[in-house]
Amino acid sequence: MRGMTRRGFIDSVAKVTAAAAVAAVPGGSLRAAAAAGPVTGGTLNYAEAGDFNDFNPWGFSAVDFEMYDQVFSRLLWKDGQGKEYPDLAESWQIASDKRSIRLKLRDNVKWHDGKPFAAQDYVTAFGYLKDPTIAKYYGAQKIQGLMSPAKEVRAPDRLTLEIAFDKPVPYMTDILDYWFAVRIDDPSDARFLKKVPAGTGPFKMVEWVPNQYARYVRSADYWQKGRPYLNQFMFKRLAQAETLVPNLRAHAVDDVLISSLADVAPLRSDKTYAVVANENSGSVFNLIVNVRKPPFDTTAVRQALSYSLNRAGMAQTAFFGVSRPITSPFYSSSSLAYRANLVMAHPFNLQKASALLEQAGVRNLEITINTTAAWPQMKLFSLIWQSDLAKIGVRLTINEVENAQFYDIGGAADLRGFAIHPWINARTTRDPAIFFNTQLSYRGDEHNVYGYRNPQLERLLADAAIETNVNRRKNLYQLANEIVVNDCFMIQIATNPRIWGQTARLQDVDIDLNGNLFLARAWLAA
Amino acid sequence: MQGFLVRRLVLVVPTLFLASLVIFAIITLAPGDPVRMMLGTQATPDEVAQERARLGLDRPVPVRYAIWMTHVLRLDLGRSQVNDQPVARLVLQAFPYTLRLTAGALAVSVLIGFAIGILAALRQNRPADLVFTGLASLGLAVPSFWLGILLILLFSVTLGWLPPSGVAESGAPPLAALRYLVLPVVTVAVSNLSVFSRFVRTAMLEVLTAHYIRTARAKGLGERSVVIRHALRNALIPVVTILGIQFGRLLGGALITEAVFAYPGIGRLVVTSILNRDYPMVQAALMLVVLIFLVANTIVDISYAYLDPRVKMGEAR
Repeated sequence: MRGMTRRGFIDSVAKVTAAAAVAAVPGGSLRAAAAAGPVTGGTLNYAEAGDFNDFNPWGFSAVDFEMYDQVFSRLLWKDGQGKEYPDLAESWQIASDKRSIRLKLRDNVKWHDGKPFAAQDYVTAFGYLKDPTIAKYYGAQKIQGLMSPAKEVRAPDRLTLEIAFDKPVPYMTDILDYWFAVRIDDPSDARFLKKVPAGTGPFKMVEWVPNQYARYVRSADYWQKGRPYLNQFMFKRLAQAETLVPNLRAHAVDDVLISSLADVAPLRSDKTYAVVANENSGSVFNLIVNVRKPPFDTTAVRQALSYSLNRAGMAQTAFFGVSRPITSPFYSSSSLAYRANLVMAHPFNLQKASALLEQAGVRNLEITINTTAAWPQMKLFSLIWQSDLAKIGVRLTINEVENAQFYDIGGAADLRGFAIHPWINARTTRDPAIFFNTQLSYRGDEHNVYGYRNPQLERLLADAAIETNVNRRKNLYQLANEIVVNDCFMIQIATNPRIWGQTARLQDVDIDLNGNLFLARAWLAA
Repeated sequence: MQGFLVRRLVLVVPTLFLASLVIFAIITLAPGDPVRMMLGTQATPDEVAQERARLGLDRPVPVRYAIWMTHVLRLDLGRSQVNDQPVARLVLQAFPYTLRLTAGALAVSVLIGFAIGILAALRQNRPADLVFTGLASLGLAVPSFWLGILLILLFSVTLGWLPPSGVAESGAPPLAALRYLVLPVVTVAVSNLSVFSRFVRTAMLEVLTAHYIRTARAKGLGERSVVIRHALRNALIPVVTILGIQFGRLLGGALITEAVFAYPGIGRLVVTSILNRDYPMVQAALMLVVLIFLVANTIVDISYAYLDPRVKMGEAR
């Protein structure tokens, strides 16, 4: 893969996808348009609910995801299967001891304000982490966390970048996939909210009207000549998620992020639209268990809860068939921690659940769960669970609370006194080292605020993070996966794919391993 | 008149102060953390704590109120905790949109509501009255959120006549800009015209049985003249009081409607800010709504005194 340029890769993918699109796109004229190849020009009107709160990709803020890949670039990027492709770096070499990486950067790359991009920009960006003003920014803290093993970033010449680590980092390309090239000219504006940012990506941000839209125009200086095909990307913000699909159907927008899964089937049945469900971000629906609160401090009780979940039924009804039922966060076979028998290790079995509760001496158990309308699926799966739990004498009370209260409960170490809380975690498709270093509720030490402690899990994670032998590393993470699944301190329910509803005219949209849209080669058929 | 105005304006100050206390207390004590909302489900406790400290949210509530009030008195409304924009600028940008929507909805409500109310009163207990009264009840009962989505589905999705959301780009021709206003105005106006029509009907029925109306008819005046010059004029007096209250209601209706139509007014700002627990934004926007409500009521009081000479300014407190 190293020898393959990004352009080469994209061209070959374009050919394959064009062929697939010809077969899949409904309607003769669209098939013909797809076969004819990309059309240059046009505006893609895209909409999501909410509003922007951070234009810096380091912040990795969910409401801003879809602008990141359009404005900014990385040294390299990963696709949905975790394969690496060059971006700002043309090629790279990893030292055999996994303690350093040397990257050859692309020449003639420019920032959107016309300044030339060079290796020194990454050295400067690494220095931001030590800047007292910028270091207060949560995005810088996230990058600081990811880059914590890095001891030095050097630029021996204009187009060469060297990163040295103080211990073996077998997952260093995963880190680099997160490390977008940003230039923070004003340290007090690390979120780029006062002045539109300059990036090196295919689109240049030109305007932001809070609560309405942000406008991005084609960057003439983008390093991939002839790309992007679209002239403009308009990211509109609607206040209510319920109005997204009506706006798509009224042709006010071309592409929307769907939050209500009930909209999926009607859109799928309409040939003028396409539905794209993508699990690349590795997001999962799960339950946080307050393991400090008896009887949930007992593994058998937590396992009983896991066996009482009819995940397959929930996936079909509450998740409208777009999610997969899972007991392990590592459901993707591309993950090092993946083990097939753990993906659905606890099949629905009320008898077993009842027996486990009896074994733990638990009777007349009462649980309250707080769901939010922001994820309607949570209430739906809770209703199914409520009915099943009633059959084994467990009373589940469901409260639908406001979104802010939902976050408040989930963010509190004691879950505000509740025993169980539905939640969402992500990055399960990432290298497990990244997953365990960022999704701290899966840890077994003081990082885990919900109280789960397991020194064995921590030992496995520490060893695996620096293990350079792939097979041994895989084995260590699979053992960690087994502990996560069997101890049920975080109980998985189903995958949480990002789902877009779009006009069938929209072609060749890429989705990276973060689950974000990448529009460099997207185009609108006539 | 001057004394009356001064007394009313003096009263506005303690009312605004009380409103500031209530608004601050409600939004601050409501469960939820703006930082959690902003950083999402994956933020670590450390990241949350640092951001809370940066925004000053780790200070005691009375201290935060005192700081906010001090800034407000210096006309500094602060910056949005979510998007770091100056609150005053966001509110001032949004206000004209809401004013346009509210004024449009008020005009539609008054015109149609008055016409329906008069017709219903003149046809009391006849089929037309029953139809109008029934429709008015329906208009009151329909939630604006639901009506808004229904109108989008009909006029934007099915018929494709009107845009489903947003506003026209700056520089667009007035007619194009007006198209964006039609659905939100209708949504807000529906429940309000129902209220107006009911009030006008009741007031008209009361006036139509008055002695001076009988006298006017006995004098041989035409029905049109009786209704418009004698009955309607007098029926207006209690209705004008309702106008002030309805103006406030219209603002309230606009809150939800603006969110449905992604209309960039104060309402959308308030709804989004409440959901995000963006304290400075909510406080400023709600204070503005309170101020508008107070001003509208003062104007109504003044006009009430003008319309009914029996009411003296000194008594209209």
